[in-house]
Amino acid sequence: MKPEDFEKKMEGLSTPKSDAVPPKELRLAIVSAQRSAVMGIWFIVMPWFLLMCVIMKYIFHINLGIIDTLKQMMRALDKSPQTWWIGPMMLMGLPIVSIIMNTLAISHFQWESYTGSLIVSIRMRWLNLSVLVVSTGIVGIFFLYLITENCR
Amino acid sequence: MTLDQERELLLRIQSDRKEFGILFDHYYKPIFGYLYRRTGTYDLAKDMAAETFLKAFLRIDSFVWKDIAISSWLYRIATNEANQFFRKRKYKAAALESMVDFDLATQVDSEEEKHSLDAELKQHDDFILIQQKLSLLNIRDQEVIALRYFENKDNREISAILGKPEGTIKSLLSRGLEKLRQRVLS
Repeated sequence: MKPEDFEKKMEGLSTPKSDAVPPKELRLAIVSAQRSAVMGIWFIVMPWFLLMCVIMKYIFHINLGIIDTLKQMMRALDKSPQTWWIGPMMLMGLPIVSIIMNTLAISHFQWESYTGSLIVSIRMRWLNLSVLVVSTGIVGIFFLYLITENCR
Repeated sequence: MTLDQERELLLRIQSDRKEFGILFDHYYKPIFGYLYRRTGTYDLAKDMAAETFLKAFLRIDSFVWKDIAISSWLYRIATNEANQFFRKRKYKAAALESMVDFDLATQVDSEEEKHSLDAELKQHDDFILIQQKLSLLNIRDQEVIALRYFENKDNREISAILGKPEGTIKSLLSRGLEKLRQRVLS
């Protein structure tokens, strides 16, 4: 196709028309949904991996050896007053941050003063929802572990 | 809306923020349409349009009238929003059709509107091809071509939107069009 013909084609290009109606309100995400999902995944990689190793070892009786190395590493970190917080931060802190970020990314809060009600709506973003579910699961499991360990 | 009407509306908005609603109702459709034609994705265009109007609302007090239409200013903010998106995904340009399919799988507030827009988009094969190839060009070429051929803006309007001299727009258009032609032919 010659440049002149292409220009003519572009001049006559039929574009999709949008009949979008202006919304009554603008819903702005508090934090970016995609970024939250990606960061959330990074935040839960380590605890997820640890959980998988535990499941492999104690449920399926497959010992990859990694769990013992990790245990030793955690114990070493736990002993030092400068590094004791790294373990809890990695296993509980980061998944909690992931929960907060992904919840904010898909939620919309609206206060209706005349009825005195707070309307919460959730956008169905599957990636954020999945990260949210996995993060909640991880926090729940480690929380239960903490309770059972400390109440024994 | 004429320039005089826009100037009058701007003064009203600057003294009473509630008047911004008139601007929003008047320009939402063209701005959303522009972003939809640039990105080809309903959800993305909707989010970008929301960001555009939020930024406009927050900055309207500092808007100084220089005989440039408010619509040009809104298009400039929208263009920056779209550019930001394309810069981030510059090296992983996905096919437009796959983006549409992905979005059909997600639920949004205006499901009906989204389906009708996506159906409308799918009827424009030539546009889809051009849009897809355009997204592979650099941002400067993308914005002038989209404004010229998707939005039917003339060089003077594009110059006002992008804040570049008309001569620059002309040469960007000519070079950009040639690059696009090469992409389409390849």
